[in-house]
Amino acid sequence: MRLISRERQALGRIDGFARQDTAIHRLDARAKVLATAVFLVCVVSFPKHAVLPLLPFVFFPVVIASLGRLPVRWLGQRLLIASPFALMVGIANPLFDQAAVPIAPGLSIAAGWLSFLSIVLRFLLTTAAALLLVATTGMPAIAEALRQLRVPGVFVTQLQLLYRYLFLLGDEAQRMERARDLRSCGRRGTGLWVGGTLLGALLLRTLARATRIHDAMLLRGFEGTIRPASPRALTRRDLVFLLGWSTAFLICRQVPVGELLGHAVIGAQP
Amino acid sequence: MAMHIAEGFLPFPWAAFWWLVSLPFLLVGLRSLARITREHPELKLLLGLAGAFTFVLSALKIPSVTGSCSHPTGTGLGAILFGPSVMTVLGGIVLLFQAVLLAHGGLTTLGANMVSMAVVGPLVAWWIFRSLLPTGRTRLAVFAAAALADLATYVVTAVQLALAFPAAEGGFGASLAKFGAIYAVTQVPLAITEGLLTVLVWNWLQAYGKPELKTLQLIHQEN
Repeated sequence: MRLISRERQALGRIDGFARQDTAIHRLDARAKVLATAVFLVCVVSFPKHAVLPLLPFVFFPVVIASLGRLPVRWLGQRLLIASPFALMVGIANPLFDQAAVPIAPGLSIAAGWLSFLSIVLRFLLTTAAALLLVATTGMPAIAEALRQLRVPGVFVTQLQLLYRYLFLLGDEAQRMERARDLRSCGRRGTGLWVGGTLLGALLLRTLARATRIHDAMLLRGFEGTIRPASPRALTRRDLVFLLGWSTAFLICRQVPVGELLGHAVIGAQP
Repeated sequence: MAMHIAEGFLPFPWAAFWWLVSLPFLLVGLRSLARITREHPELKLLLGLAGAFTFVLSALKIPSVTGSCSHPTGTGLGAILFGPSVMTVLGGIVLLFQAVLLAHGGLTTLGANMVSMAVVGPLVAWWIFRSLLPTGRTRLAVFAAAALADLATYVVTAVQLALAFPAAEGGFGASLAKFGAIYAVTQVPLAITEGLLTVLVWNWLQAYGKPELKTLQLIHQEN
């Protein structure tokens, strides 16, 4: 049994990306949260066999990743790790849905293949958008944006506390894992039995740590709520980002932009 | 491997539907959480850490009998320790973090994943644990609660997928059989493993964490 080293590193890495200083990072978190929400709704609202109309949406993650100076390799790895679900569940579609759909004169394809491609494309687009939002904004800023967008305070406070403790607990778990490995030389003591007791110990350490942190926060004047930073008004740049992208997404949702571009390139009329 | 429904996977009407189904449970959980933290402010941090622990638990890789690696949902242990309504909120936040930090699950499918993992799972665990507790066989109650909560989570997930993607021939039933078969291979052994793991954690808590368990009782009473 292996504790959470890889996920802890992934969290640390994404937190590091969020501290960069680029034009995208400097935008207000509310603008990025809302633009991403419009993107997600538009992408998932297409019919189940849509493939071509989804292609223009690729532009958004590509632009955000390049302007936000985020490594494509990191994004690709995260998507690859998460992709088995989409592949595993979607791969059966071609077997279950074999109705022929014409895609070109004299050429047809099983509808199941189209729905499979559509599922994979949607998964890649929406997952990339969510990862990029956090990597260019950071979870504390997103939580603050949610508070300003009238999400209940008790939820936002728990969100903030939970995120803070993730790193604390991750480090604690890594220390325990290292101690276990040093004692077992990587051979014994890695089974379910030791893992279960380690988890019990981790929970007790967690509770003890919560008490110590609470005491320390009380001594520093904590009154029960994490004080929000004073909200600033959205700048013109934030509004251009939000309205510009939202309008583009809605146009791409309503107009077959990919098809029109295709016809323009090959010179035929739609 | 995480088995939450992936981002962008559900058609929009179904994604919206499951969001709507999850909202009342989330609101009840939030009200419960607000009451607990108002009356016992010191529990606010503890709950934050409890959520972080659930996240850590869900990031834990455990070997599956099928040869693959999977992770516990943590809903069984969470519901036993913190109660079902608090677990709905904590589970929701954990799912949110998994979606945006680890790309497990997703934002559009968060409602559906919440219903299966943060609503049905904890409710099943809580009900089984409370029903079996009077028999005096606490370890059996913990095992059954954790294992069946895990299974219930994935039965609901299979139903959600079958409803969204009925087979062209055979409709909902054929599709449910397909998704059920996919999950049965990985999740039945995993549910048993999670049940055993939860019993081990419970044994440790009983042996070394009596005072901490009393603190957790406080959350129960307020739940």
